[in-house]
Amino acid sequence: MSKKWIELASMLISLTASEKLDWKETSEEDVFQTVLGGTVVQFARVGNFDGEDDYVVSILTRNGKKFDSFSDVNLKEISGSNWYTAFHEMHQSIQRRISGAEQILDNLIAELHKKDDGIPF
Amino acid sequence: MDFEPLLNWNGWGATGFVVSLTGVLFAFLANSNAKSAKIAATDAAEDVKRTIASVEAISEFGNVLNNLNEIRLKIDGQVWDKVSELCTYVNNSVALVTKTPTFQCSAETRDSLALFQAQIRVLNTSVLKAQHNGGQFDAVKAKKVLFTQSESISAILAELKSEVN
Repeated sequence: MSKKWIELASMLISLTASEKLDWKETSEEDVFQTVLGGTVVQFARVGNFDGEDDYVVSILTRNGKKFDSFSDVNLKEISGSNWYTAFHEMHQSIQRRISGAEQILDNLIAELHKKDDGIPF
Repeated sequence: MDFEPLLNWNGWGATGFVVSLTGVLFAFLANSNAKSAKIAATDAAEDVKRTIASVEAISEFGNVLNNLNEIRLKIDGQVWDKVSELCTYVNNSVALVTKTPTFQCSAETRDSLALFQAQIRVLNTSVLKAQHNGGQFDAVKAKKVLFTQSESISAILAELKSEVN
């Protein structure tokens, strides 16, 4: 199971970065979800007892019941690597895309590139 | 009258073979016609079952839309126990439809319903936190998401109605 968690987490991070996953917002501020072949995957930022954030991936059945979940802490225990930063970036990227900030930044950069064409250095 | 030459005629063997082959052919054709009729009857019965399932789904999704509207009103009034109760009704209605073996829909619709049910569970969890632990509840975001969910259910409802008509 633990190896599958790492594979799943790696795929989620990579596919989110390449914008191949259609994450949707939920009524909870820091919880996003997507569906893959009828299986819902939720990605949440939750506060832990130390007052810090953990990132949790949950897998839900078709009717919304949770049947498996793991956090960046679990992945660190298994692999020895730090998953927090990758999950943090993934969370921010989803947030930016859903809020439309990513699109605005893309448009802004494109506009700046147009203006930059006239500069001879 | 002497029937001997007639009975001893060599052609009877070939004729008998042709006659029996024709009999077998007719029997085969009659059997395959009966089978086709049986398959057609089974298909028609399955079509009726699917239509009934779609009609029932239309009714359930109509209830879901009404309940989503109720949830929105209860969130405005912060009547948390009613919100939680309605969330349960909503998910039960969707489960009733999706678990009906004769209910058929596209893979996209199935995915949309799976996301919908997960969303309603998230909402229910937030409501229970707000109700029992005094947790923060973002009513504006919840209503915005409810609106989006209502739109997706309305789209599924329209698809089902067009199939039934």
